[in-house]
Amino acid sequence: MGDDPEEARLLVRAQRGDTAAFDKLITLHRERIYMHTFQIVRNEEDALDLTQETFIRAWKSLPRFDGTAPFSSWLHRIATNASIDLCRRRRVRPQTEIESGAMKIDPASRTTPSRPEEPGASLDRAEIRRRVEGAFAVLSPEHRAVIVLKEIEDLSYEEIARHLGCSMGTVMSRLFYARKKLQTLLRDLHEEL
Amino acid sequence: MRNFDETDWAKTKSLLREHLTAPGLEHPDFVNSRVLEEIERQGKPSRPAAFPLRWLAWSGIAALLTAGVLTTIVLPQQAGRRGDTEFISQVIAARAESPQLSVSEFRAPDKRGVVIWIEGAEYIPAENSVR
Repeated sequence: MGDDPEEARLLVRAQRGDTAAFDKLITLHRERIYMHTFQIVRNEEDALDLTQETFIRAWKSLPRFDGTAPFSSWLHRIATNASIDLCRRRRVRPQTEIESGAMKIDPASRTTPSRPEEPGASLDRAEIRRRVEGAFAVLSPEHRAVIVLKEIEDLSYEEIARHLGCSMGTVMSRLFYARKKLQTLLRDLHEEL
Repeated sequence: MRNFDETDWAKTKSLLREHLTAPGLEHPDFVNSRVLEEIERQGKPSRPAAFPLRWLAWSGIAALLTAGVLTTIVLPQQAGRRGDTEFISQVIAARAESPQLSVSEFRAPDKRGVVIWIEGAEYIPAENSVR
């Protein structure tokens, strides 16, 4: 059930239906779950909803939690699947400033829309961020999930496979294509590093 | 198949790590209250039943169908195949030992049943009063 004996005790109580114990478990994990879901959906409101949904799903499935994996991994798995489900349901990519703001054209404008920076021109930090988020938004939810789990949260292939309920081969394949796509989209930014 | 090298990827990765950051949770207690509110509404989680209700319902329906098929099709066919030799006992004769008793024997027309009619006895004693 994890290395923390206090957490193990809380889990046992929560599995018996003790909501006060579950409340403490939420407090222990809410921040990391929120950040994890945000990394996949890139939207604060959705991430907040997904965090709540993760804990509600966890509560329902708690009697079936057998403790073979740490509780935090189990929660993260639920959160990842909920995030992927949300993206699939909506069939939309995460919002980015590129899509929601910078690329909008004001009908009253007399000037042409601003173009991406000329090659060689130095990009400011906010622009680089927009470009990175825009490139990430192009990926499918499954590809975003493997990038987050591998490159940001540093999980091993085996852990990611367990996490997503797929084979290690599938993880490697998804990671390969996701990396390739990001690399293609962001190669020109390498000059800025 | 690998058309990008590790150094190139290291640069992309550092861009991702630097710019794909997540904001902190602004009102963390809000999560607790919303989740607890919802789970209070839904009630205590329950272990999955060993025999779920739907499974029991289908089992019942299957059992009734089987019983119906047996009683309407299979059992009448079996009964039709029975011969006289399957009877457990056979009445050969009836005779009363007591003069107050009269015993009559009636055979069914198809000879598959016999009725023994006893008059003058309030009960039949255990010892062989009627043979």
